[in-house]
Amino acid sequence: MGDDTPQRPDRILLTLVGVVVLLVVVALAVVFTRGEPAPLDEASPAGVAQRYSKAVIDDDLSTAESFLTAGARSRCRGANAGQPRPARVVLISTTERGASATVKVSIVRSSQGGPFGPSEYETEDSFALLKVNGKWMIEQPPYPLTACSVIPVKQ
Amino acid sequence: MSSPAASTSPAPAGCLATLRRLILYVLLFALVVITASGLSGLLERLFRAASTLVSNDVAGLALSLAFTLIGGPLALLLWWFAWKRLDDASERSAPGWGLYLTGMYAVSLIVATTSLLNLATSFVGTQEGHWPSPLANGLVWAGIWWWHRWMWQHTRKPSSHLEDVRAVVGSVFGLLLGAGAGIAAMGVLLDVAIRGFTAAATVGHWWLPILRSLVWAAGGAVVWWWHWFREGGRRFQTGLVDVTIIAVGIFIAGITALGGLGVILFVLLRLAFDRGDALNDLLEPLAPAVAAAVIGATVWRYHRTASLHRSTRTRRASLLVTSAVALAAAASGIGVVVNALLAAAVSPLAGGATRTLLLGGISSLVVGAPVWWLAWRPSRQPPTADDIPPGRRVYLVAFFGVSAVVAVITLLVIGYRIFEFLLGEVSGGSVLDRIRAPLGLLVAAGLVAGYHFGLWRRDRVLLAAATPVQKPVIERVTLVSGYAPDALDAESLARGLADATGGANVTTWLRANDGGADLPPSSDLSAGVDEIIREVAAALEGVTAQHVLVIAGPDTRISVIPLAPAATAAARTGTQSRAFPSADQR
Repeated sequence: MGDDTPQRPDRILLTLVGVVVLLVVVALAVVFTRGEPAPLDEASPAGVAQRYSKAVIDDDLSTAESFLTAGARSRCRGANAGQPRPARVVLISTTERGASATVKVSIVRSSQGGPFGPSEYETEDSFALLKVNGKWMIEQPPYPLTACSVIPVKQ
Repeated sequence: MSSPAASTSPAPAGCLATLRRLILYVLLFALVVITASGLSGLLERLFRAASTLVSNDVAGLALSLAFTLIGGPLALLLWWFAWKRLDDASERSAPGWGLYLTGMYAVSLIVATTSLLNLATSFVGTQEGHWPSPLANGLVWAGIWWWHRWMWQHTRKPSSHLEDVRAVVGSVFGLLLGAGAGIAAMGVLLDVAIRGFTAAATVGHWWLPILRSLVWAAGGAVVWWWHWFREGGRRFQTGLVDVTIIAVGIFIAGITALGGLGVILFVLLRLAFDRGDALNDLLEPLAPAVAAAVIGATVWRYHRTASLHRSTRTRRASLLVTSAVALAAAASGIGVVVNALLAAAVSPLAGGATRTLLLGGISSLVVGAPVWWLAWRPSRQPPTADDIPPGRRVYLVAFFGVSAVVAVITLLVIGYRIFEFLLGEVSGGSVLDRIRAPLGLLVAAGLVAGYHFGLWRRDRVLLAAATPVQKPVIERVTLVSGYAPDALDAESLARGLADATGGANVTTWLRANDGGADLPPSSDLSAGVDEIIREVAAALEGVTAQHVLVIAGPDTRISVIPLAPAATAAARTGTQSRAFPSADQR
């Protein structure tokens, strides 16, 4: 290959390497110091959706079912198997209409495919909530977050 | 002027011949496939005859009989017709024949190999009774393969200009099959070693799937060895073999090896810092990744060494492609790191998984960046214009272009999400969460585009400083030779002119002696060819037109007339379009 005469360092390259190193260091710092998601008010529709989602992601089915209305529990057909489990649920918006509410969320599922690292899929869906005895209950969870332990008896 | 019929008839004849070949070979291809299907159906029935107690499959038998008894004779008839015509060398060099031969060779090789390997694996384990179908298919298609190979190498009518195509088709198929099955076999074996028998608990013994994959890998290796070594694929110094080495041996193998290495590092990092999932799930991708990395690296290394013994162009291209694959890995790693950083900035309702994402990005970056550094050598960029290799500028522009396209698409997605946020009631956190992936890609694309744009500009400055101001170049010369053909070879005069003008396209005409008032071509030369070329070159010195008419002779006359297209010249010169009276002697 060419001669080994020292050249002046390429400033663009140094800047870019610096930017990459900085990004990695900041990302490591932020990601590893990040705690649990901040809890929302349990009396709000978003708070109920949050607790339900957390229970589903943690596979805690009995806790998850405690947030479902009786109708929702009877309609449940078991956990949503086969697809990658949701890894992350982000609130998009909350709409309250007296005794009912809709919580729109974005659900991120990740799988370990792809030649260069894991890949993520994002879908948008919504919770339908009803006010039962002054408490918000989930009438219809989003399909990817459907989970329950009992297989209901067929009518 | 020549008669219209004479000048226009070759084109339709050529068209007609191409159309005839197209129909002939497409029909032959279809008939051979149909006959093969019919024959293998009949053979399969024959093999099953001993074990069949009752059969009522009239429809299947009728179809096989029709395919064989109608397709077969028709295929033979058409083949006989085509084969007779192939006595003609021009017929053998036609693209239609080349495409047919290559296509049928590839199809028969692939079907025969997969059928015979299926047959071999059907005896691994306990699956008895599955052999008639692959055996029948394998026999028929192996026969067709042999038949086409015979035609290809026929002593009286060989298609020797396509020798490298056959070697490439076979070796690429064999290499992909062998390497793919090898990765599968090694992956299962390592999986059993790493995770124990629980995961591989299938029907039968744990080593059965490994043995089956090994049989496939051995079959692929034999096909590759046959075409690469015995048929001499590696010895051909053609562009096709070069492209194959680069595309399969460097590009695909490089992606496999780097992807495998990235996953290995990812699993190790997760084991160290992110043990959220069960150990069994964490270790699941490790074994296939190790297999992919080892086999991909072996294949890559072999072709890298092979490319070293070929032309400089191939060696340089293999380096550039390696660098491109590694840079793609590193850049996507940067994108994922930014993505994870933004994901950590948003407080989700539930879940997280940002740690997994970040570790994935870091492993991709850590694997890609050093390989890129070694292949591209950013610290040793060409210091002068003479050191800039030819492929480098294409590479720079390609990377700049691809990253610009990525940037445009990601910007559109980001814009859509932001407008959605501004126009509707959407929480700010969810906007950031939904634009983090495109934003990561945008940052990576921006870094890549910035770096390559800087290099491209630097190269351009170097090149501009090195090359003097370009003179307008003469592109076409129309030469009218006024010397008799036996006195001076007009072709050598034309070649001399092409050299003197730096590669202009020279069209040669001879002055004809039609007994008119014009001077006849002179037979005695006052000077040699070299002298005439020197004189013409001297006369062309100050000419700046792209197209020049040179009239050399008779005797010592030389006139050089700069020409311009009729549209711009009409006003100045008046149109004087007299047909040259001589035969075209290009």
